[in-house]
Amino acid sequence: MSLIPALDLFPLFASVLVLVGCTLLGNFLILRRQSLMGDALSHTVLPGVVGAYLVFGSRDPFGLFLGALIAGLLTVASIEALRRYGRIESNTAMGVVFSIAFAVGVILIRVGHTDHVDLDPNCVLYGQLELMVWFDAPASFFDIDSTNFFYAVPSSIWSLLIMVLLVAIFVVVFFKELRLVSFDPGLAHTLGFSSGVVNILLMLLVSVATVASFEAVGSVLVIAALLVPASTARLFTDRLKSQILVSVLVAFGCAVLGYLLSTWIPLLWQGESLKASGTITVFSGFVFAVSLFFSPRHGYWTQRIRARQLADQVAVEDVVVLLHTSHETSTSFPWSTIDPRVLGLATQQGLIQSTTPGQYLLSDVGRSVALEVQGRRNRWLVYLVNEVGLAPDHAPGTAEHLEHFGDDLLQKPSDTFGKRSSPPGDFL
Amino acid sequence: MDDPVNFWLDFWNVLTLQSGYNATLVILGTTSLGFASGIVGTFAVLRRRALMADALGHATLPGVVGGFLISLIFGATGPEILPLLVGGACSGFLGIWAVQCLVRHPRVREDAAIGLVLSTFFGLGIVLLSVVQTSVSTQTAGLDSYIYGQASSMTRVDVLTLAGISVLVGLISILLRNPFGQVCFDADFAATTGWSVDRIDLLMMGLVAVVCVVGIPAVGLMLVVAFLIVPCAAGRLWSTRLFDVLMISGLIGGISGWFGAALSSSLPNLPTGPVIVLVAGAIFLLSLFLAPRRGIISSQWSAYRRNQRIAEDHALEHFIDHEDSVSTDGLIKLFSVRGWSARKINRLMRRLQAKHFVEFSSSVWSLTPTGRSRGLTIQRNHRLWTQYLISHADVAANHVDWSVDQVEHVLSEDLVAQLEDQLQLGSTP
Repeated sequence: MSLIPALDLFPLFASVLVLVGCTLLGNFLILRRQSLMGDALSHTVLPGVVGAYLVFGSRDPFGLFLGALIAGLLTVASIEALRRYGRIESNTAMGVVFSIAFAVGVILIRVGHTDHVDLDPNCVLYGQLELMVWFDAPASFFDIDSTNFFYAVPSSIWSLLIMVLLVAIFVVVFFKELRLVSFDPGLAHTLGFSSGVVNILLMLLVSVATVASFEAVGSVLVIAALLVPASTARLFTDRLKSQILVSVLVAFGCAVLGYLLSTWIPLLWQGESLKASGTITVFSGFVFAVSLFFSPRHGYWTQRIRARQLADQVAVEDVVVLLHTSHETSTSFPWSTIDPRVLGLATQQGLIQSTTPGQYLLSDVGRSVALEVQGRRNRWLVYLVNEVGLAPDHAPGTAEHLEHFGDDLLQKPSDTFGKRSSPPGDFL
Repeated sequence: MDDPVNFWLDFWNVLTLQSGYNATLVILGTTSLGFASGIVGTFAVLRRRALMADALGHATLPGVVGGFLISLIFGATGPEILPLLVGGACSGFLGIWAVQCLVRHPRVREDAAIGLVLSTFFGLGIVLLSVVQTSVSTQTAGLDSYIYGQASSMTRVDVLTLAGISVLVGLISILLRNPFGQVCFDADFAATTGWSVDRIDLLMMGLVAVVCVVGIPAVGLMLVVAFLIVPCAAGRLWSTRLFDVLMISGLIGGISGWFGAALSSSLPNLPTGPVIVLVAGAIFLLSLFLAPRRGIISSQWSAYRRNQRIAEDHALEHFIDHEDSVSTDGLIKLFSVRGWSARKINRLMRRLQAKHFVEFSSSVWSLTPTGRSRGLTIQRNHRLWTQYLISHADVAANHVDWSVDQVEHVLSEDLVAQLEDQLQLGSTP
């Protein structure tokens, strides 16, 4: 049995389209702190779709699309209205609007007796990726012939394709405006870009993406698709363009692997396949969690390791300075009170030398390091007293913290401050 | 709903608790739940954690399903309430904890953290649910009711537990409203007065979580967030005092629970949760429009009245500046700087006439003595505030006009006296 059967081709393709399309928009939602707008919109799609179904009496995709779009716009408008006229805080307004809208949707389903068509409330949550399975698929990819293929493509794939194209065009065309409005709405305003218009367009596109996606994958995966890959990408990079690129790659990977997991995992106990929308969501969450720990830039562990290295460096410098100020006598020095690991590190760096076991001497390199650190401390002291305006008896403590920091760039200006006056000796 | 008369009779019977033991039980459960969640939800909303409750609700799904799976291992034959709720509580707490941890990371903001936790946990729940539905062949029908809520499927013990816990949680929240309120309104102040903010926060979120979890069988985990925040959103429109808001929210929650449960049991095929939420939503909408002072109708009306009064003040000011009676045509010229339409001027003059500030005789408008003294007061206020802004607030003399125009109408008598004092002027000329 092949690990990627051809009959999974369409659902796989659909999940890739959903994740990539939603992620493109999610990048901006996250930057604009509007992530939960995606949450709200994905809930309010339900009454829109069901309402359209009840009005038009058919599952005509265009009608459903229209209904959901109207519901989405009404959501955005009513949240804004509640904030402005009811003076209700935005999170609360959002929660009130989408939960009531969702309740309306559930009741419409029951009242309209639409249970027998596949608009039952659970499909809203889980989606129907499984319905896209290509039962007439040939045994392997090499047997697919093109005419056969085009007839078999389900209609939701086409609408998803259109959605992704629309979103991609929107992001490319309005990239400059989106970036400006996301990072500095004030500047955008003074430059004459209306953040309101960009916001409305973004919300419109999120509604479109949500509507197109939700029939295939359900509202929960839509929320995940909007937020998770983009949040993951934010852990890896600080630049918007590369963030978008990374997020699309992550989305693609999550969609493919997450979908395949839904068929692979049950092989363990020979069960039937799992809900693909669920496995994709969980897998993306897993990828996010792993990135949270191990991302080279903002990962938890990497930051821990960096902090640890810094702490070590500070300790080594402190020891060297201590040794230097105690006139390099090693006999009376309380060596046993110092962490042997720090002494080992200092020896490794060639800053101190061990003459007899348990006794250390400062090396030439160590001496110059000690002088450098003390110089930095003096410069900080002068800067803190003269420029920052710290009281002279408060400055030494702060200077002691800061003496370990300062690159060439920082040293230059403090050198110029130092020329004015040197600190009185009794500070030290 | 084939027969409306029957429906209303039925509804009335259920509402007045005359429709049998089961319906009464359900109403008892949802009413007490509504009361408790209205009160506890108020603190969640005030602490700006409204959507945390949503994450909490969604995050209970994997626990509910997991609890079910575990109870199967120990020999249960169908969904039983205790293991499901314990599982739900565990995963719900895990979800909140995850949000709290994520928020501490500098690259993850609160909204994103809530969305991430909510969707991932719910996704896990869906996966587990599909495992249960496809691979474990047992009775799973009851599980679905945890998503949308089905209060009628609760047993007597379930309802009594629910009601007991709800009342307890409601009472604890009311008793602890002082520390809770302090933490909600000003956490730093609460810390300086000696409360342990972290512990109080934990207790508040714990109470929210308890209500959330016990409420799930009745209203469903998708909508439990509405149960927590809609009553409070409505209650805050009626009052600004914490205790009143708590009581009103509790009341609104209780009424929604009562009416919602009655409605859903007299209409066939309607899940309880959404119906209760709709009732709460209707109360919210009514409050939004009708509440005194903060309601839309009342606040728009007072804004309208205020604008009218300001326009009257401006008109009197122009009259004083002009110091003469004016013909009807002259009015348009007099008020040209305001850009008012002829119709607006006409109505304005009628109002001023009705208040005896101006009089209209032989086709000219002129100020009455009361109108003159009123106009002089306004003019004096205008000049006082201008003087204050220029001399004390360092506003450039040519910038002052616009801001004075806005403020002159809201200077209170105390403020005017203070200004006179500060600018070392005598009292009224």
